Amino acid sequence: MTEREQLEADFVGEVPALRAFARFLTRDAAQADDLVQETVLKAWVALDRFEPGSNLRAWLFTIQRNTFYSLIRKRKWEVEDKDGEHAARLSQKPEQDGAMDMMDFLAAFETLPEEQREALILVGAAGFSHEEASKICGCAVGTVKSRLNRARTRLTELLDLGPEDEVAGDAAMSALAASQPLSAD
Amino acid sequence: MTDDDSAKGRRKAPLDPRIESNLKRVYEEAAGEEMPERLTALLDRLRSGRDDTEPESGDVREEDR
Repeated sequence: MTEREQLEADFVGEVPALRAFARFLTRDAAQADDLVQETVLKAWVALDRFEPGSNLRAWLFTIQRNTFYSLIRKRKWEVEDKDGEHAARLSQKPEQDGAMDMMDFLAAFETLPEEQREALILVGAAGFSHEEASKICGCAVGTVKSRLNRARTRLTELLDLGPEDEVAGDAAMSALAASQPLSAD
Repeated sequence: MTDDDSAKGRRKAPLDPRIESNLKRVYEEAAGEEMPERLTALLDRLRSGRDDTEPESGDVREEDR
């Protein structure tokens, strides 16, 4: 396999992560796939300019984020989750372990400002470092940390979380998440 | 978490594990959904060099690179 073929294979392997990020950006499944398609086309054309050894996922996420805001400006995409369809679609599996209710979590998550949701997804879910997230968002590392802190504080308030709320199910949830780490590499 | 991690911008204060695990779970569900046919077909065309579709929103901006 040539270097180019390997890069193309890695590119294709990142598309599921792009779809997940797009879902959070657009909050609409159809728009998310439109966004991913547009991102793939742009990134593929620019693939020769990708620096080998740098973070492909971060590069793709940056293109996707910029594409999203470009399309928002041009098409005036609506990204409000008017009917809660986004939240309902994202997790339809019932909780069985008494841990934090997913629908409550998603409802709380949806109340966060866009930049805080974005920071949470990039760092908390996609596994980027603060520095990588700051580059993707085009802001300072401290800004990412501040957004994360505010988001975390707000979610903790909304979900009424505290040390005394620790439940046995958390260990299982954490183990589940840890079993499938999402690397930014 | 080490000082070196901090210096590199690595995460220092983790999210509440319950928040983080829910975030990851939601993210993984979205990433794990079946790829739509149009995306699969597009990727196949691109890899075979048979796609001449132009992106709608212009070229990659300087800050994308």
